[in-house]
Amino acid sequence: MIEALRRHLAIARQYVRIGLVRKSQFRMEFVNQVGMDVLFYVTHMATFGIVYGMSESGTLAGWTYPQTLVLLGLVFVHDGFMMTWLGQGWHFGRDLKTGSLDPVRVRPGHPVFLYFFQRFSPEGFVNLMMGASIFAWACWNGGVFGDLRWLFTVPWAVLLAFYGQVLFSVFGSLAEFYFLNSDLGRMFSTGVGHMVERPLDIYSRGLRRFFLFALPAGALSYVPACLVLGRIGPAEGLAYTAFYLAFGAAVSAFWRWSFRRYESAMS
Amino acid sequence: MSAPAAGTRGARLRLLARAAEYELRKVSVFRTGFLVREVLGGVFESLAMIAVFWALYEGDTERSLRGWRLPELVQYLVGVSIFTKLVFHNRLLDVAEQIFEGTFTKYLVMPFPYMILPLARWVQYTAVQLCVVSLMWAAGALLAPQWTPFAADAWAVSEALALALLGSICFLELFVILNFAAFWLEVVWSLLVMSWFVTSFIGGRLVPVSQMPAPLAAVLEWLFPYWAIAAPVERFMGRLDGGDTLRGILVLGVSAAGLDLLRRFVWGKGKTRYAGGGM
Repeated sequence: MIEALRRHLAIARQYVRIGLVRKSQFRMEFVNQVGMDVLFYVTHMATFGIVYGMSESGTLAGWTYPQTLVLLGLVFVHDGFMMTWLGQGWHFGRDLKTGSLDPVRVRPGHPVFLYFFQRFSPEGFVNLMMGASIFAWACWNGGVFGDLRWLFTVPWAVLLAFYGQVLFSVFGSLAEFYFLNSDLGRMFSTGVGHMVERPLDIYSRGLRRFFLFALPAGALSYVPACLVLGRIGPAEGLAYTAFYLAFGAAVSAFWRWSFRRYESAMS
Repeated sequence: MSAPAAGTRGARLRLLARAAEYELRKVSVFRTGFLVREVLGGVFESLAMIAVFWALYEGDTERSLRGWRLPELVQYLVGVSIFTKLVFHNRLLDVAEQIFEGTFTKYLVMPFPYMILPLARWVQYTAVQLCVVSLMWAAGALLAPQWTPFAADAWAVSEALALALLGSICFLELFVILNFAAFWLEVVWSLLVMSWFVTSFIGGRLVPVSQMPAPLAAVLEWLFPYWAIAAPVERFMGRLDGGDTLRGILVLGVSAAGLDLLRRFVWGKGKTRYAGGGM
């Protein structure tokens, strides 16, 4: 177990080194990607600013604007994590179609880790830092730091959001094995991702449960935000975390099993 | 079978038609992908915003917030989701990738203007999306008439379509220009994503422009994204009139002409930088 962890960390270090070398060749793209995420943050916060500006009660499904900013901060954090480490996932459908996954099959390491973490992005890391700063500001603005519980709820929430992003990306890619060149994985990430990057309480109870339990979407930002804001207690938080860990184990096993369908040239 | 000679205007039109036919074959080969990309694309954003507004109004269909009742907002978002499908999408172009990989050389030596190929994609995309849009609207009108926008009058339909299609030309020009930026920058996907974020927001894709702060809304009404994305729906629903359409056509026409000039300029400069080596 420790040997496997050490080996994967060594591989991750190489991915970081290669990512830094690669991106040093595209300095303008570095700036553009940072700019792109700044616009992502601005448009998200502005959209909710306008929506709350229309609200007479100042709340949206029981969430105040400062609370929604905490949730959006976590959206930016897990999005930054995705940009930093999971960028290759965007190309999964094409890589599957063109038969580019052979190295993942034969190298020593878990194929999910080897594939999804292979493209370390320094600009994604800058964006992650910006997202973390907005999250910290939103926590301060929302009064989260007034209670010492933040010392364990905030790190717990951030780790759960990171884990949720990995789970969400891997889960979304599963359909590509069965529907080649369908873009289902990308549609899942952008389409469903768009629906869950807001308080899930805006949806009906059935739809909320669907997002929480049938899709691993609650782990991205909703459950972590509820944890930070005290909308759920530590016991409920633990139950969600255990559920998503079990969900992740099942997704990982199914992904490996589905990977057996891959035959180098699938198109 | 040989390609038609491309010297005359007629030959270029035949070439455009044949290229559009090939583009159609290409997008329809993978049926699930066709459904996902051509039909479901862009639907989820509107669904999410409908849920947000539903929660904001607490399901009260009579309450009016800043001039909009809930059914009107839902109809607007459904309409935007449908009409935006007519607007050319950046995923349809792979020029930047070919410039980056150095496989663009063939287009520089072909005996016809390169722009015929992106135009063929526009023709194919518009033809497919006109069918998709009609079917989606018909399904909405049959299954959920209270949440589906209906045309205020016959003129509203034709004027809304004119705005959307002219707006789509503006987006085609914009995305071709951004793809050509690869002659200098090599990788431009973040520029394309950025442009989609910005134009969606300022075009009223998620929230009606009239709900934005008044000074901002006043500026946005002079930019082409508003007239390409939100205005067709607002005209369709009767929230804008024929005079507004004329103003929109003026803004879109001037924008399309300006973008076309810029695209020709960037193309001329970019060709001189292209080395065909790839990275």
